[in-house]
Amino acid sequence: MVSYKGYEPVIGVEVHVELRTSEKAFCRCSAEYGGDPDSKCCPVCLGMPGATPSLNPEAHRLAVLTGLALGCKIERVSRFDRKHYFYPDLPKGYQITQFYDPLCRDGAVTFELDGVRRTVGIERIHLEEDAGKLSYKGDKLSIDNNRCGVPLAEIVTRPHMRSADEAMAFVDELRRILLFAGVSDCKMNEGSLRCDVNVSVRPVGSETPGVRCEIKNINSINFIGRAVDAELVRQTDLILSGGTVEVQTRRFNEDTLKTEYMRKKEKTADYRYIREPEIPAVITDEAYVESVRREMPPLPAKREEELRNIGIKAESAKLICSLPKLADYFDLVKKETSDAVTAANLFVSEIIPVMRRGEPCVPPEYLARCADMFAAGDVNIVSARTSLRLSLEEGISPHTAAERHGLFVLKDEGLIKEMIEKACASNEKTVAQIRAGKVSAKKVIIGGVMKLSSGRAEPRLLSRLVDEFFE
Amino acid sequence: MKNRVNLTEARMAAGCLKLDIEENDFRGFSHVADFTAESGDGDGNLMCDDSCAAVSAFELCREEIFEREPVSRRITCASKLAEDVYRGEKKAVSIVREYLRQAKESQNGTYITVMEAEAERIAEQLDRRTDCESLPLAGVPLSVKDNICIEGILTTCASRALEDFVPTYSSTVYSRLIAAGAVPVGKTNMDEFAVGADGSTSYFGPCRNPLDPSLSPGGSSSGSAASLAEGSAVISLGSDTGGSARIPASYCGLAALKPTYGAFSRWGLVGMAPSLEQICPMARCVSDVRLMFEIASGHDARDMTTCVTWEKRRRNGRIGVFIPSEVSETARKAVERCVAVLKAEGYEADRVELPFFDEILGVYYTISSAEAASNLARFDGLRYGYRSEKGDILSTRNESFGAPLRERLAEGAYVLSEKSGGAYARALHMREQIKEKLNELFGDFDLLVTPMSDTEAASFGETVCTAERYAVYANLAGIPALTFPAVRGERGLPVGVQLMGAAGDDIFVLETGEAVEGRLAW
Repeated sequence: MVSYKGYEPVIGVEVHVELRTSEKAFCRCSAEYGGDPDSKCCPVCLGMPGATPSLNPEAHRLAVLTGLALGCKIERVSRFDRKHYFYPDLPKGYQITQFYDPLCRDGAVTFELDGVRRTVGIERIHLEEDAGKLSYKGDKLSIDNNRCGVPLAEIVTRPHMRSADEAMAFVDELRRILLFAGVSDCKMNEGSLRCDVNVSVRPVGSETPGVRCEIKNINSINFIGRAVDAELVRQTDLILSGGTVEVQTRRFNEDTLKTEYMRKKEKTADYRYIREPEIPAVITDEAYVESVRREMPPLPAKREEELRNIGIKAESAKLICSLPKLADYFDLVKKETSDAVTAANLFVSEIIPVMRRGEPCVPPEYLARCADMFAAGDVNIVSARTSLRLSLEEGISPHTAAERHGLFVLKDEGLIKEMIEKACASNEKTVAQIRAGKVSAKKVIIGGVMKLSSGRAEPRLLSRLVDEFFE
Repeated sequence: MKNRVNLTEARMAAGCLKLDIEENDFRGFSHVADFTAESGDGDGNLMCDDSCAAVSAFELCREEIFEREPVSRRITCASKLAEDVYRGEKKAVSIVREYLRQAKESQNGTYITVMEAEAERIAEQLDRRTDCESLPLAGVPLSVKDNICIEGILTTCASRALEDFVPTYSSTVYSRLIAAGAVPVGKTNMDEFAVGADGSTSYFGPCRNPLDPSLSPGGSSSGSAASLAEGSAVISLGSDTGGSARIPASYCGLAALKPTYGAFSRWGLVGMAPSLEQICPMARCVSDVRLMFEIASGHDARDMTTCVTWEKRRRNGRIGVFIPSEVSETARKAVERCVAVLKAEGYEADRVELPFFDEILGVYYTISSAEAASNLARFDGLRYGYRSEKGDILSTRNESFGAPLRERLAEGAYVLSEKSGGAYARALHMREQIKEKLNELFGDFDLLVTPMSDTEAASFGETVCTAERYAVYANLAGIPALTFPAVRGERGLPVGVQLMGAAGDDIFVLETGEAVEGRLAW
């Protein structure tokens, strides 16, 4: 919804992404997801007395990379702070984060929504540590500390979004960028990308911001849209019935598709932020930023544009650049083939569905050869697809498949002439019409030959031979 | 010329200890029953190479000594012991057994845990080694404040909240001393979580001053100081957040260094106010403190605050002398004596003012309380120690902590809250100004000399604020500060003086301290 009963939503998003480091942010424990509870812990990430944190340089590098991928300015001096709150998943009683001096500021994400370019500003990105994981069984609460200390980048947008669709498109594009930059695996179901959405409403046309509510931990892009709409309806109805919106933290109920009250939002002072005294200021100098920038993989928007520039359809380009593994695969194909456009078409129709399902796939050279066969006129598009499919099924090259299954285009003039004669013999009436000057009836003969050759007769050759036949 | 004499002979030879000391007054010191004394320095001064024996002798008969001509000391106790061990003259095991006995028999509330098994094991290992020559602390008994973690050893911070906490890791500083041959005697009593300055707030009961058990040893490293003063350890690790090692050192006649912030790894130190505190070497003489510093300081990959380097400084031969207007006579005398020695060494001395002397404790308490509230947030009753019978977290926390600590934590939470109107931010701002001003001073002066405390050891609960006022500058500015005894107070007890240097200048401060200490008549 763009508006409801004359009210529009104003949306800002806070995204937490787990950075893809092998070790945790402040200790040397494995940062890998899963494992037996508390099997990846040490005195530092358990916050035991006397255990001091040391910043993992890889976490810092990936946070810088995140900032660069989102067009941020990387601050030369950033610092860590402690955010205090009591919760069983937080062993130190505070989280190490960057409140006063974050690592990155002032970026933007641009994307298309319904053919219109939109830009959402990034206010800041800071590096922080994750908390443990709580699970409830009956009335029993269990804490798994494996996630404690896993590095997170928190990305905070400006309140630039105006509809559920826009919020969804933004998160989708953000996720794509982060995947291509290689900073995170962005799995919402495993919690490596988590979203908090801030929503307020105001009458359409008004510039005065409303009171915002934060909806915590939404775990799919679809639910982001649902939650925004649910909140738009709830807040608008509340205002229209004479109530006022309170600053609250809410959660999204996936069964009712509504948001529910969690708690009154803490005021900033309640977190009692202080500088983290155990970690000195982090200096990120320009030379370092440049070295990270040089290593940054090309981002999806740019790769998409490159594909469009060589004639690939916009939708295909977008699809190819929806996941790094697809784009990387296609890059290899592109290098090998003389006909990237056909290769893209074949990739979209035959290979992407297979890769999406995570099934084994042909090597990129096969797809390249297949497109080349088409470009050389050795196969038509239908045979090209068939040979690729057979190649997938039988694990043979498309060329071999075409050979074995007789998919190559028929270019033997003698053979085609025989077929023309055969087709004419069974269509005497048409032959008479042609001879009487009805040139368009030649199509019937061509169709007959195509049928006889199982569609393999080379069309231009066939057309010439039919013309010659009737001269 | 050095003479090897037994204690009585030394006393006679030096002509300064005319006391009848029963042999059994030296329980725990039979290994030093004789010691090296140097006589004939012209002043009839006793110069002992073995401080344990010497200082114990002084303490046992201090009243008499104090009435006599000053006795100067030159003590190299730890290195002397280590030398004896590597020469095979003494066994580490027999040394440590005597100290262990002393520790167990201590009536001063010095220890929370005596590490008998651990000490014997380590000493036995030492005695089997053939490379003790490379161990500068071979066989030297070490006591460790109970907020410094030792793997497998109870580490309580003198709090009910950690009454059964056994860490799985050891402090880097501790490990380095052990690697250099030191033998741990035990974990010493302290003010709960290092909050307090008189040794009275420990959950395990107060710690008393061995020089006069009716008095406080100072705090919070009370047990560390007491262990040295009573002779149950030769060197000790304390910690200093706002004078916590230097104040007890001053009250017990000892030397202690608060190193430059970042010079000592904080890994394994249970933090109270992490931006202020350092583990501190404490001993009976500056030379031992220096030895400990040289062994234990330096970069540690597990503590990022050690990732610092300091500029090499140019000296100008000038010292700044701070004596506030309301200073006590004792403190004035301490500073003046120290300055006199330095002048004799060729220094020029000028009076200086320390910035914000009237406000300094406010700045210190705001920051340290805030950080304490933060650092102790982890003791939430879910993971460690004591649990209230009432079953809820609030009761557990309330019953875990003593009243003074609870006050400090409440203060900390308050100064960080909105209600305080930015008290914490203001304190940080003032801290920056203090740092700047001190930096300026160190542009003009190689060292600053200040009192360490206005009085000698006091009774429990008596205010130590004046001592803290002198102490906290070094913590707020992260600079090194050394104290050693300089004078005797009205009751005949020792009182220290303080030398502060620029950040990173620890060795220079220690060298100067060594030179002064040997020539101070106290």
